[in-house]
Amino acid sequence: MATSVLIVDDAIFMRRMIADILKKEGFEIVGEAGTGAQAVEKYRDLQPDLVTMDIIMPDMSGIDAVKEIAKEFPNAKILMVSAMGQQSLVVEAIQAGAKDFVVKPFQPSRVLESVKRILSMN
Amino acid sequence: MDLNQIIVFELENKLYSIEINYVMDVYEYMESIRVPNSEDYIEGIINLRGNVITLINLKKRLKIDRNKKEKNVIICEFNKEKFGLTVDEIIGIENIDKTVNTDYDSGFVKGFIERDNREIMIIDLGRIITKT
Amino acid sequence: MNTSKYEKLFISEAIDYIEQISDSILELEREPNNIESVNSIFRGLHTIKGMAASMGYGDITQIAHQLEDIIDLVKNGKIKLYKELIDILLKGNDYMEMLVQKKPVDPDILRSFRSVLKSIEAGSEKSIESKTSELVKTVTGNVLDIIFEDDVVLKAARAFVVMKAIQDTGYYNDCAPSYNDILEGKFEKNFKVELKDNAPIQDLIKQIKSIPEIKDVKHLAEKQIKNKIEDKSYDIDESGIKVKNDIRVSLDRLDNLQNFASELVIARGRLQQLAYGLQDNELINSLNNTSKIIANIQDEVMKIRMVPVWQVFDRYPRYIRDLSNNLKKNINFEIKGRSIELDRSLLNTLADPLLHLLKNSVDHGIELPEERLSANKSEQGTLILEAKRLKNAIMISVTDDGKGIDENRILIMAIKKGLVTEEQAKNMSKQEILNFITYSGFSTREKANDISGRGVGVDAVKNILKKIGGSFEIHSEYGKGTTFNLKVPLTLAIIKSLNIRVEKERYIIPLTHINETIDIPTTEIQNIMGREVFVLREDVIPIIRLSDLFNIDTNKEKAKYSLVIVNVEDNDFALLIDEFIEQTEIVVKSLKGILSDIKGLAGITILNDGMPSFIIDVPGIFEMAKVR
Repeated sequence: MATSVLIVDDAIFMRRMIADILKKEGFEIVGEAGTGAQAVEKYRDLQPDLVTMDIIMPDMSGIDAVKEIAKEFPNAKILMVSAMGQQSLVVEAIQAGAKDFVVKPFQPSRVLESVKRILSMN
Repeated sequence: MDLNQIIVFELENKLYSIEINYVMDVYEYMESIRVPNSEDYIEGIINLRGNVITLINLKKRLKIDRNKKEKNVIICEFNKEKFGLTVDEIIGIENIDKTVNTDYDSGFVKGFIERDNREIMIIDLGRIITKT
Repeated sequence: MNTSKYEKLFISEAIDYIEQISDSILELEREPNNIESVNSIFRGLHTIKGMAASMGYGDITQIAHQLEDIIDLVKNGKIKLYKELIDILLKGNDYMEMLVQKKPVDPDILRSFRSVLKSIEAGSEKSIESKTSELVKTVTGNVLDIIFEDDVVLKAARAFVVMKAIQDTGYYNDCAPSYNDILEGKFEKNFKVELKDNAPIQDLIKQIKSIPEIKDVKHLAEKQIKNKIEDKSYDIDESGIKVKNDIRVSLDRLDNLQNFASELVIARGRLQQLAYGLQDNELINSLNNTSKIIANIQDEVMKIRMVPVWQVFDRYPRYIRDLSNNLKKNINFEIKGRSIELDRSLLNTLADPLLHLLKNSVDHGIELPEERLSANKSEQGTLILEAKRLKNAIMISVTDDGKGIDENRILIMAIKKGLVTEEQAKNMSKQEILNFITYSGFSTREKANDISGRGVGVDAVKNILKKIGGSFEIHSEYGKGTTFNLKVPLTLAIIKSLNIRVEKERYIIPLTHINETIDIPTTEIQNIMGREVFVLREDVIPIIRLSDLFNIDTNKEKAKYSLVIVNVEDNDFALLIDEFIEQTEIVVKSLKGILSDIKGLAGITILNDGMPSFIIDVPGIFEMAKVR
C-alpha cells in the first residue's frame, strides 16, 4: 500500500508543489490542511504515515499542531517545511516531536531524502 | 460551390428572406407584451422557454404599408441577440449561391435573387436590430 | 524543478497576500500599536518569501525577506514606526506586486530600493554584528566529527536534529563547542560530539549520515578542537492567529448557482399556480414542502453571495492617500459601516463608480490646506465613505467637507450648453440644477484632468445605478461640502418588488424606491395650477399618471385609484396606477440590444405565470415627469 501523506500549509501553492513531488514518488496524498487546527483534526481522522507541516499558519501554528499531534500520537512522523529565518521555530518543532525539516525553496531530492529518513525511523 | 439556404416569407404579397443560419425557430403569430416608449416597430416582448425575446414588426421596420395581420414569427439569433420577426405567410426554403447579389445594398436589404420570375429580397439582420 | 505550472496559482495567491499586507500596513499607520497588523504583515511577507523562493523568483524573495526583517525589528521595538517607513513598506509591497505580475521594474531602482532597506536595517541595533567570542572547548575519547554541507540553510536547526538523533540513542556524552553554541549555530562547518565508550560507532555514523545536509561523519580519537563563532541567527516570535477556513469559488460558479436558484424560484411560482388551478390538495401540500426547500436554497445562495463592503472599501485608503499626497492635500479618510453586506457582483460593479466619486472629492471637492485655512476651515479635510442599511436597500455615501458645488456656475454652463433656457433657469430648484452634473458630457471644468477626467464620469455612475435598480443623488452646499448618495438593492439578481396594473398592462416597481402605497377615491385628486396633486398628512404630493408616461390607453376615469408613493432626490411623488397585484420577489434581467435605453424602464422579469414584465425605472420616471 502506498505511503499516506497529509500536507499542511496555508498556501495552496506550496501544498500543490509538495504534493506533486511526493505523488511522483508514489506517495498517496490523503489529505491537505491550511491551518494548524485543521491539521490536528485531519491527523486524527486519517492517521497518515507522514505529515508535512508548515510552521507559520493562521489559526494555530505548525508547532502547536505538532505538539497536539505528538501528544496523542507519539510516533507521528512529521516533516517540518520551513522558510528561511525560522530557525528557532524549527528547533522548537523538533523538540515538540517533529522528526526532520526542509527549508523552502527545497529541492525535490532533499524532501525525498528527509521523507525516507523519517519513514525508516522507529 | 458554396451554397446557402434562405427562408422565404411574404410581407404584403412581396417575397423576402433571411439566411437560414440565423433562424432558430418559426412560430405562429403570438400576442406579446407592449414595450412602452419604444420605437413603433417594436411589437413587444415574449417569454420563449425562459428567454425574453423582443418581437420586431418587420413591415413597420421596413416601412411597408400594413394591410394584413401577420401570421408568423421567425425567431432569429444575430450577434448573440435573440429576437423575433413578425411576417405574413412562410413560403419555404430556397438554396442560393452565397455570392449572388450580396453587394446590392439598399437600407435593410443586402441582396436579392430571382426565382420563378419573382424577386426575393434578402434582409440584412444586423441593420434590422440596430437602432436608427 | 519545473515551476511554470505553478505560476498561475502562485500569482493569484501571492496577490492575495500582497493585498493583505497592504491593508495591514495602512491599518498600522492608523494604529501604530496594533500588534495584530504587525503580525499580519509579517505572516504575509513570510509566506510570500517562501512561495517566491520556491518559484525561484530571487527579487521577490529578497524584497520579502528584507521587508520581513524590518517588520521583525518593528515587532521587537528596535525600530519606531515613522511615516517614511510606512511609505517604504508600501513601496516594497508595490514592487513585489509588480514583480509578481511580471510588470517591468527597473533593476537599478530595485537595487537602490534594496539598499535603502539595508540601511534601515543597519541603522537599528539588530544589525550590529553579533560579537565573536573566542571559545575553546575540548572533547576527548570517543569523538565523532560531524561535517555539514557548505550550503546548509538553517544550520542551527540542522544541528539540533543531529544532536537530538544522537541523544535519543542514549550514547551522548558531551560536545564541542558547547551545546548552546551548537544550537545557536555558532560553529563553522563542523562540530564534535563525544560518545559513551560502548557506543556502536559504525551504526551511529550511518544514522547521522542519513540526516540531510550532513556531508560526512568522521570518527576521531582524543583530539582538541578550537572553534570560532560566526553567523547570527534571528528568531521569530510566534505570530498571532487569523482564521481562514474558506474555499475558493469562482464568481462564475456562484453566478450559475444563483441563476439556477432564481429559475427554480420562477418554476416554483408557475407550478404553484398550476397546482392551485387543479385544486389537488395532495399536489399542493407536497409542492408547499418543496417550496420551503427552494426558499432555503435561495436564501443560502444569496447568503453565499453576500460579502462585507470592506472587501472593496479597503482598497481605497491606499489610493486616497497617494492621491492626496500627490495633490498636496491633507485629507482624513474615514470608512464607516465596513461590515455591512452586499451581493458580491453588485459590490464589484460599484467599485469603479465609488472610486470615481472619491477621486472627485479629493480632486475637486476638498481644498488645499492653505485654502481651507483662509476659508476658516480646519486644515485637514474629511472624506467619509459610509455604508448604511435601509429598509430594503443599502445606502452608500461619499461625503466631503470641501468647497461644494457652485450652483450658479452649473446653471451658467447649462444655459451655455443649451440644456435649459435662461427663462426656465429662473424657476429651477437647487436639486434640479445639481442634477445637470449627471448629464453626459457635462463638466464645469474646461479641461479634463488626469485624475477624474478619465474613465467613468458622474453620468456613468448614475447609469450603473439605474442598471442595478438603484438611484444616485447629489447634495451639496457651496463652501461646505458635497455628498453623493448611492442607493442600491441588497442583491442584484432577486429583488423585492410590487407588481402593479394599469388597464391590461402589468409593471414591476422595486421596493427600494417605495415609501408607501395608498388607495384613494378619485375625488381626492386635486388640481393645483394645472398639476394633479393629493394631500398626504398635510404634504402636497404631485401625482404622476403611469398611463400618461407609458401611453397606456385608458377608457375613462375610474372611481378609485391606487398610489405608489416613491422618493427620488428627496422629492416625494405619487405614481397613479389602477391597482396593486401583489408583492413578489423577481429575478432581474437587464435590457439589452434594441431594448436598451428606453425611457422609464430599468429591466425585465418573468412573472410567475410566465409572462414577461417590465421593471420601472423610478428615478427615470421622475425625470420624464419633470420634463412634462
